[in-house]
Amino acid sequence: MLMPKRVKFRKQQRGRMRGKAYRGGSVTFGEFGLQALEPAWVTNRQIEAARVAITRSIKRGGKVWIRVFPDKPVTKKPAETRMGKGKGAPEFWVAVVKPGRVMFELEGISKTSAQAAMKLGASKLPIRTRFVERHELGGN
Amino acid sequence: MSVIPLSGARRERLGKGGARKSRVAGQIPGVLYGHGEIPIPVSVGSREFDLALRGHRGGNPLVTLKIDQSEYTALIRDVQYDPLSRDILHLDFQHISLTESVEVQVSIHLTGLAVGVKDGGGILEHILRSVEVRCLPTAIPVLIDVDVTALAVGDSIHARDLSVPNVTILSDPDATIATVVAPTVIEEKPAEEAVAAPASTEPEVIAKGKKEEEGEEGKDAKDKTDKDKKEKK
Repeated sequence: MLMPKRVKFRKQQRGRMRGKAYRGGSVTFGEFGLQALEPAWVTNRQIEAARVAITRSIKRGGKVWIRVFPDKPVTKKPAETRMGKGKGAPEFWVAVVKPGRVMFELEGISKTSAQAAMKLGASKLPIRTRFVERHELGGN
Repeated sequence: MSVIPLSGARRERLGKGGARKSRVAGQIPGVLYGHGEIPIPVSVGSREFDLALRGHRGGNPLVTLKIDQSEYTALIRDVQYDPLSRDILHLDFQHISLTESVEVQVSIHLTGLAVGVKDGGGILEHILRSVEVRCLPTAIPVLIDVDVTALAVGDSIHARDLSVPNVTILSDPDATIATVVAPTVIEEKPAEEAVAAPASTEPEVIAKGKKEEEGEEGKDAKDKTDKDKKEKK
């Protein structure tokens, strides 16, 4: 499961997810991509599930890139605990995803296979996504 | 390479607000710079730009930009897009001379089906998607076609293998453009093993080591004060 090896602080504040992803918003490594259309915290389990779905779909061919990394710890207080007594313990890790972020990329397979694989991967994610292709000025 | 005629206007209102106003008015804000001249903020009609570049291939279009009765030959150096709508947000035009060579990035297009993919079951990896070249603006290649038909599993094509007439390739000659690799076999873990593996959520904390150091320092300081007390006695 994806998570950082070393961190400076065990816990983080929640923060907000305003605006669009102006970085990581284009297909850079592969030929096809899966782009987020909504903001969300995507957990490492969801990323892993999507990765497994995509790699199983493309079987032996193709190469997959994961362009998001869950580097934000999320804490939770145990059930039936009174308020106070400090922040809860880290439970899982999330990637902060903003609209426009290309989360997965694919290369080495046909467009139809890539679309099918991305559809399976997208079903494991908590947000609306769309299939995108590498883009160049003039439409080529 | 054909030169695309474009007409633009000088932008009077600058900054974020001015750029937004021109976008609302159906214009694309941009800037014209180069040749040691003072940069000129410009705007180009969005629809006109789309129509002019429709069908254009390659990432380095040459344009003649008409602003206030003067014409500039320019290269579109940078295009900023909105990540969601894919609308063009900003354009960079570089004023150039057709007789001076320029350095640009040219896309590499792979052609053919590699033998290693067809017969060997390998995967074709396209590693370097563009190369930096130096040439005259009129000689900028639209794309550099690279034939990968002869590539078997383990073979690769490098930047030194490219030969384009009237163009000097500036990229690292050893840079790999494409390679055919053997497919990776995914080992599926048994379901029991996957469940049994404990998912630890606690990585190493960097600040922890610092605390220990601070603790040691504190200890040293305490020893020092004890010594001072003894001396006083």
